[in-house]
Amino acid sequence: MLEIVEVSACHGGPDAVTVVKDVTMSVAAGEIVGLVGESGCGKTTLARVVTGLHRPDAGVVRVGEVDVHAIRGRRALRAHRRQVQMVFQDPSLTLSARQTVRQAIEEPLRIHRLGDARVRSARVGELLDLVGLKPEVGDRRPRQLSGGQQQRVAIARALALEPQLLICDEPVTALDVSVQAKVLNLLCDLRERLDLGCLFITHDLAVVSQLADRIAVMQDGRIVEQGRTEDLTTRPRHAYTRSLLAAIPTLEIPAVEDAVRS
Amino acid sequence: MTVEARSPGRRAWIGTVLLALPLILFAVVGVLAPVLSPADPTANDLTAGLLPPSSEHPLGTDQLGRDQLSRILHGARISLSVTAAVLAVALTAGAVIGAAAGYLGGRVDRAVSRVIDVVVSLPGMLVTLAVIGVQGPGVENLILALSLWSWAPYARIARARVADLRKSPHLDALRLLGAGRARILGRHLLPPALAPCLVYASTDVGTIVLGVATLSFLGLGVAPPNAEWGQMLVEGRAFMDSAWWLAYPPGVAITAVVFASNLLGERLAAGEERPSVLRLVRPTRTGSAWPVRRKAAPSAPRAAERTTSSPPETVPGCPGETPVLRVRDLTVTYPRDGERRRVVAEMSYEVRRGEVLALVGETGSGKTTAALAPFGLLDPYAVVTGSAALANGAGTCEMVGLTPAERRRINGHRVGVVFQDSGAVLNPLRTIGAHVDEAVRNAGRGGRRPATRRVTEELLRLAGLPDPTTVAREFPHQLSGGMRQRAQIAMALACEPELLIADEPTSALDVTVQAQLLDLLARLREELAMSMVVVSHDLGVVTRLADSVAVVYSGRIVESGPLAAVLTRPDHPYTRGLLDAVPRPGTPPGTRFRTMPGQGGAGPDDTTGCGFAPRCPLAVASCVDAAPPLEALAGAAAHRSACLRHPGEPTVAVGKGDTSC
Ligand SMILES: Nc1ncnc2c1ncn2[C@@H]1O[C@H](COP(=O)(O)OP(=O)(O)OP(=O)(O)O)[C@@H](O)[C@H]1O
Ligand code: SF4
Ligand SMILES: [Mg+2]
Repeated sequence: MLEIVEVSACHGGPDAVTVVKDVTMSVAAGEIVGLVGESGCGKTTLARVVTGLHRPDAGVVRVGEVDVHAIRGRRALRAHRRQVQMVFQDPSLTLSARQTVRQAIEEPLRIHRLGDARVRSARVGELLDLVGLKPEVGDRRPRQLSGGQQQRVAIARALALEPQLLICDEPVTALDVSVQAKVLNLLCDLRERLDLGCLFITHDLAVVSQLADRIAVMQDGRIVEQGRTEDLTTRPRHAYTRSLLAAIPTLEIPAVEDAVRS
Repeated sequence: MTVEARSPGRRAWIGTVLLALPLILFAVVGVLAPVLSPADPTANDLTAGLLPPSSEHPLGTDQLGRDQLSRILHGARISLSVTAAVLAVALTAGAVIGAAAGYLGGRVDRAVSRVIDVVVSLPGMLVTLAVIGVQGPGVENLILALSLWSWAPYARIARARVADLRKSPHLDALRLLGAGRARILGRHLLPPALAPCLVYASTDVGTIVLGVATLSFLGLGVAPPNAEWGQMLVEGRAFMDSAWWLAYPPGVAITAVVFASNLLGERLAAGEERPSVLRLVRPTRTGSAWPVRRKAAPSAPRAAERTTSSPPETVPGCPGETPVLRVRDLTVTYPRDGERRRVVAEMSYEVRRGEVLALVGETGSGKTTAALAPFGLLDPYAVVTGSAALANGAGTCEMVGLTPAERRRINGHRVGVVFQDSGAVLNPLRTIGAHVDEAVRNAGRGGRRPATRRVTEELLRLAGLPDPTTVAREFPHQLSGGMRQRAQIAMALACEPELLIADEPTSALDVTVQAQLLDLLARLREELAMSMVVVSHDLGVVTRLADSVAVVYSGRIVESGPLAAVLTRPDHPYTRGLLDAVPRPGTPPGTRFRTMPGQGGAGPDDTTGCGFAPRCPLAVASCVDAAPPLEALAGAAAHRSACLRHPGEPTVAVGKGDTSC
């Protein structure tokens, strides 16, 4: 589904700094791949390269056999847009304060001129349902929603075009802990129901070790280790991975149900 | 219970309309002048010169026998058309130039910004005089001259808005959805940029009307036979003693329009959604626009009755020490659906000297409200009752029920506040230095300008901004989110506060920057020996900063105590659920994340008894009878939990479980 081959990318003009160095990785259909690394190690730049928002200096990004950065022409670009979508860290910054939820989710359908008003409205209803929001939420504006609800709206909007690949950049960092779990479960469900490939970018190894099929660990713009989740978390080879694993705080709390049983 | 401010929105709206009335009148009269005028404003009738007001000529006639009323009305028409033309040109040009510069960024932006800065700083009248000096007088040249002087502020406003939005992921998201340039600019960038421009335009009407009148007065604007207010003033001046009706009406008309326009602009700007920090750093201005009506008196007798919910008077471990802030039975209500609903219900907490207290909870739980209410930083229609005693030397000072004037002596003097959204707190048209200067002056520090600026730079350095001199000269949009947040921290530190309230200080930031800011706050707290209340939904933030934690759910504290105790031996089922939802390594991939059933966000008035009961796996029938009191756990006096069953105390829990199940 997604293939990243030897991609390097840098930021800024004359005093450019290379922030993504020679990255090679892939995401298959229906697979969740976690990309973990400390803040500022280049994860977001890689996400922007993958989605076509940032031009790489070297390397190729292919989505379903198409080279993302060699797409020419409006139609091809539109077709590509329908394949890959992205979910950002802070939903309150990515949703427009002036649009209602319904308008926000409908916007990509309008842009791509899909269906008439009635079809679109029905589709918005479906999408709200898919992400677990009640229909009446549709008439509210982002300010009137909780962070978790906003992120669900952002996910619904990203899914409106039925993409095959979803890039999630720290999608739960801005959310309440109890809501994080729900959004993560939502992603699991969507992967199964829609056979969605997902590149999940986070600084939190604990999250991806439970969510992802495979994990890639990034340090200073380089992938230092990647592999199946069980292997990587139980037998980390790189020192950096080991330090990330060691840094996860462990909270020894008996679950609520255990307390009841006792 | 106080029931004032029943419909604050409506009242504010009526005020706005009243202020707008002279302008509306001005516009209507200007448009309808030919219909309304009893006579031709330029028709001379030398036999009827200088007649005093009469039924035939309600405002008399001038020296040439022209009807004064008709001339005033036509004067409005001329002023209106010139103003409309200038605004149309200046606003369009300004918004387009500013938006383009903000959108394109880079070199174009830098060049345009420079030009804007220069134009804004030029004295407007001089520019106008220069243009007319070159082009000669006349209506077209008047419009040209005034537009040349007026466009720059619009450009600056539009540029700041667009530049802000351009950097936000909002546009990335739109691009990914396939939106083209035209759609992004037209639908998503210009409308939000235009709104503040229009607000500014309401002030500008006055300036332009005055400008037209002044130039005509000087003989450089509208030429004589035409009726124009400034022109009429000149002509009337000669007859001040004999015919007062010539000079006064145009003078009154000009004054009314100018005043109305200024006040309206001020009012609209204050009504814009700015968080309440403006009430803190700019008390006088917003104070007058939004009178804070609140009379709630501390409910001392009630506090005495409810002994169960108020923890013991002294804190175990440090006997006799008065806390910096002691909040008791704090209740906050907002109007909703025609009634008042509580969002914080009889909450009690305290912050000891040098301690960092974290209020944690989900969105809508009321944590922000609970932290800001004691300082009067909520929307004006919030009603706050209960008590919040701020330590004051040996005694304490009651914060609830203070008048805005009394409050000002405390906010920004002894208490500093940092809000989540720096973008909304900082005025895009003022430099960072100007913001901090104002906070410094407000705190009574500084003095003359250079002295104030020195304090400002020192504060900016303290807040971890490496080059304070440069940063002070920059505008908010030129800084990254993290730097803006640091600037806000510098503002809050201006008064050397004993207590810092930080509402989600890092939540709007990228994770990298979050970490740096948390380090900064931890360091400041050490260096300045401040007490802090940190509001956050993020357990990570809490563990890095806090000494004690209060877990807020549905407007009440459900569990509180020292950080380690609450995190490692949580008692309340909600706290347990919260900690349980934190992913743990070692869980096989693909397992579902543990969630809490149900949805948060219900207020204390939406449930009876324990607010968590609808979601609680341990709930029993008696849970909905009354809200459980926050009581100390067996063997840990500082650790309290508001649950009937106390699952954290194994022995007790089993006992209770046996009887109730
Ligand atoms: N200005 C207001 N007018 C009416 N209701 C309000 C207002 N501000 C807050 N509320 C309501 O008060 C409740 C508590 O809000 P508060 O902002 O204190 O929550 P919070 O815990 O800080 O949430 P978040 O994490 O989203 O900031 C919410 O239900 C909210 O809808
Ligand atoms: S009081 Fe009852 S409903 Fe509330 S948390 Fe305790 S057990 Fe659950
Ligand atoms: Mg809040």
